[in-house]
Amino acid sequence: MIKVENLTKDYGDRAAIEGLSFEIAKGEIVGFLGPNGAGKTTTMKILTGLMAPSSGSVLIGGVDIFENPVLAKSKIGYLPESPPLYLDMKVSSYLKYVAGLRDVPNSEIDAAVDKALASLNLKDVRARLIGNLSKGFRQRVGIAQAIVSDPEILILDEPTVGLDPKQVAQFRALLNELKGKHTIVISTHILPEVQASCERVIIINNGKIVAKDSLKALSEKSKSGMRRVTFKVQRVKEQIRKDFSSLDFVKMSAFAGNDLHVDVIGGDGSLEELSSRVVSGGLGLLSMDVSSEKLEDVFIEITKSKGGSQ
Amino acid sequence: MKAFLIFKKELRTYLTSPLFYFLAFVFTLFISARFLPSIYKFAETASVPESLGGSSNIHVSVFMVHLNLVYLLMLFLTPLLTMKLLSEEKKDKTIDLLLTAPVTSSSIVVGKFLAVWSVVTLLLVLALLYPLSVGLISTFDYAPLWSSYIGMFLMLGVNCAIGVFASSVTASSLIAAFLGVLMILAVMLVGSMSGTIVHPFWSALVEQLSMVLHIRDFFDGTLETSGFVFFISTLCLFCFLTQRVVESSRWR
Repeated sequence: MIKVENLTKDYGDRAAIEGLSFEIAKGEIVGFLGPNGAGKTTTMKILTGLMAPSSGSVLIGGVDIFENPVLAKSKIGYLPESPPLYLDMKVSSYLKYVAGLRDVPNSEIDAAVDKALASLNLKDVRARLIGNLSKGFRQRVGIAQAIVSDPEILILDEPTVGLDPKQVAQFRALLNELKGKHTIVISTHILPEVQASCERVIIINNGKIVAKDSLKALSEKSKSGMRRVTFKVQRVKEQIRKDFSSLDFVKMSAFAGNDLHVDVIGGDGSLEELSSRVVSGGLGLLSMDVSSEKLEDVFIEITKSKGGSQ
Repeated sequence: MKAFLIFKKELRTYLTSPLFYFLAFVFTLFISARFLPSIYKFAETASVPESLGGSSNIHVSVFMVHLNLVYLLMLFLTPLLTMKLLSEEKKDKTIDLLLTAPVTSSSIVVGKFLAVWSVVTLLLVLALLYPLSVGLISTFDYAPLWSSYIGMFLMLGVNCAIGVFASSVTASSLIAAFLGVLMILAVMLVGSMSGTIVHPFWSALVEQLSMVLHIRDFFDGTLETSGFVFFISTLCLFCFLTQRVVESSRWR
């Protein structure tokens, strides 16, 4: 759906991005990660045709965005870093305007606007001026603006900025709804965001791609693949813990008060084995928390080790 | 089609903004204050023979005075109306919406230009009501009146195109307005340089570039092809320049 080849953008003699190449298949949700200033926004601006690259090409559904910008752009919904809102317009008339600009046929505009308002819970503010809305609402109007034309491709630059936790959860639900039908690219530096909704990540640092892979493959590739399991238990029984040592996937185990920490490698089978032992051992299991190798760790490691001039 | 959508949106923005009504108020206040005294004066002097300083030509002694004031006021009002069109979109980054939508930069410019030209024409129609109201109480020759207003309409089109261009080159409305006034003044006054140029070809060329020269023809009641060509081509030139500026934002 999106094919990027050898994309480079120079600002004077400073290269914002250098030789980016990647492909995104139809229906995928891809997280676009990178520290601040890595070139995420620049890349997104080029993908949407807002900016021209110094060299390289972008194909949107087989259409070159610089050869045939109007056709390519009709496939894209874009939420820029700062949502492009006219503060002196009402929410619904703004969305109608955007829908018209994005080729929604006149007869379907009202339905499209209603749908976008409903998916972002904006029905109550439809008649209010955008200028009078709070930041969270404005951000949601921005997202509504991107999805109102039901585009094949959604490009969202930091979509959850300014949303409260409940709204973030709603946004994730919305992404799940859109999954499959739309190809979605989300740029963010909020990692749980990516973990929650993306299937694949592209990590860039200093304008270069340092990793592109599925989340799972990324964590497996990183140094150990070890996971820490913490059981909160009613009773401390040292014997049960000692028995863990005989299991070859257990690297370490220790009690800390009523918390039993176990470091494991291997898949979900080892977790199942552990938890059944804890239960059958009569420890009185209260809760179990698996902190897998966090994306944070992967991210920090990758952006540190490769392509880093710092 | 997209140009029409942008046109509608901009027109609505104008007609729901206090700025437009405020400017319309100031505009009518000024022209009203000037119109009535000149009517009285005309009534007093119309019966006096021309050799003694009287005038029986209402077009010259009332309508032209009125039009000259409209002309002067529009020099400032047009840039005030055009200033936000593109500069504010740049400042608020709403231009991103237009540039990432399947819309050509020509539609953006044409839509915005036509919107402001319509609004300015609305003001011109307000001004036209004054001479027309005189028609209720007396009779006169309407032909020079119509030709003057056709000329004004075209000239304001040029002013709008210049204003939109000024608005496209900066992200500050204030600078856009200031630049607009300067550029309109420059286009208006360039003709007066013709007297200082000795070479006959260049002198004639500069004279033909003068907005004042062409608008005079219209005011005098003559519709000349050269006037139409001058105004329409200047207007297109500035729209084209604006389109290039909008398009160029992609290449930075």
